[in-house]
Amino acid sequence: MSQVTVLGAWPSPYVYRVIWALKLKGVDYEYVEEDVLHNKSDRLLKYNPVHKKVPVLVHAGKPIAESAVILEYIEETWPQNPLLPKDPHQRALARFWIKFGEDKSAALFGFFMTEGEQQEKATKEGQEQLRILEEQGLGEKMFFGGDEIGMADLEFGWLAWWLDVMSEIAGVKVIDAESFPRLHAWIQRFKDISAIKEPLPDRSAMLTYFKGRRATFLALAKS
Amino acid sequence: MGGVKLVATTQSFFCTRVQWALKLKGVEYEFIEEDLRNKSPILLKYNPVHKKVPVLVHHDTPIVESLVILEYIDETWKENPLLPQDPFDRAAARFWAKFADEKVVFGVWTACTAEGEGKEKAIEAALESLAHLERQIEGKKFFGGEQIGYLDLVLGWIPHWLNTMEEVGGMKLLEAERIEWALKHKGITYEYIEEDLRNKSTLLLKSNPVQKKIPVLLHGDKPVAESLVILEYIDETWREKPLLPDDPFEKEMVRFWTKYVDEKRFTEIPMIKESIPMKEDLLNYSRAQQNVK
Repeated sequence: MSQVTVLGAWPSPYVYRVIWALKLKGVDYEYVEEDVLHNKSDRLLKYNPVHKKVPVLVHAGKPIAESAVILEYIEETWPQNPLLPKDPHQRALARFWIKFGEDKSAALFGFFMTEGEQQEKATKEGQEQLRILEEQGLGEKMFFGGDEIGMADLEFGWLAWWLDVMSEIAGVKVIDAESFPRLHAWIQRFKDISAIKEPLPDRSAMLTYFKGRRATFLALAKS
Repeated sequence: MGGVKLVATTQSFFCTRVQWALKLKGVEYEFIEEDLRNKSPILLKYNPVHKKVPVLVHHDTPIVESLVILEYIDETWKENPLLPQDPFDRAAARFWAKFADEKVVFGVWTACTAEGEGKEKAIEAALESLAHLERQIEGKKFFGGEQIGYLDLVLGWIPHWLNTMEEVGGMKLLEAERIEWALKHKGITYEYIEEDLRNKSTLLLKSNPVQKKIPVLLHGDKPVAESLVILEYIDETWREKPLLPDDPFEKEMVRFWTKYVDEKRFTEIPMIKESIPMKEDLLNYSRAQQNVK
């Protein structure tokens, strides 16, 4: 079995998509923490020279970057416990929602990077996108992937743990059980899965870290 | 119904890449032209979330997002595979497709539409991202190897559309622009002589009798042709602020990319050529897009 290594940063939701996928498929891996904010390692710069970001998956010495690309690679290399359906159209739908999540990143995180009137506007924008996600992406299904979790669930996994911390710090309620009942129910189901729950970072550590990040974003916005 | 429909415009290269994929696989389809200034009920029904083209409709079900459509086509029609077989090579192709669509398209568009200092910066950034792509075609006929593949379709806009965007945006990202940028970078004064390629001047024919092509640098009465050779000449003659990478491998990459676009290997393929819109059409479309921005 060739060595599998994940270069990551513990606060990053993008990294967990990869960790979750590996755990769900029972793939052993070595995790290496990168200090992306202050001191990127030579190893990271060598393995992801274009973007210099995490996560990076290294398999048999070959690096793959970009979480969505890594997930497809994991799916093809370790087919057990599939994260994509067999039917091409269903696969296309899963990929569509993954792209939606990536394209709408700025809108979804906007509430966290702003304050005052701008934040009100950003929160509404984010909620609009979440409404589309809930109604058209999730619909009546148990998971984005159907009866079982799939790649699209991993894409939105940050909603299940990071959103709450970020909302608390930013002082806004983005979603709750009344306004987004289906998304809220999905969050509970998602978090309940042991492979998902087990690697989640400590909530108080996250509070400290993300408080610092918000302060940085707000300072940058002012300058 | 197994019928395949494509809701698209002829000018958008996101749409053309889907047409190329279908043609490569010999899939018959009905082309439904969309007027984006007056979106049809069909488009709104099939792509309610984004209301954009292209939309592929198969068995009456829509698939949207050009890269997602390419994956769907590859999975549904198995002949002439677009993506490589090996998972790592597939990952690399997907990575570069994403990079191209996110950085290169945006970068070139910005370089095309920006003004003043912003334009200079945008051109530099676009050149940098193009340089990353250059390395990916090293030693190969196409990005897909001997045959065109997924990444060639994704990047296929570059040889043809780039020329159009360059004309509309008043800048050249390859060839002459590089030379001018190089001369400016080194603080060398020069005279720009516009050439009418349909009516080549005696000066051009005398300076570059072998290829009869531009760009040609004239230093005193010495002509230097071939853009990479010109850059190397400039770097060796005026030594301050070096231009080219030191590394011979990197230098080779720069050369290869210029060849790929210059030799038009991709756009001369008949199936590719027949789906490329007329230059006038594209010019009008690009100008309209510029005004919209």
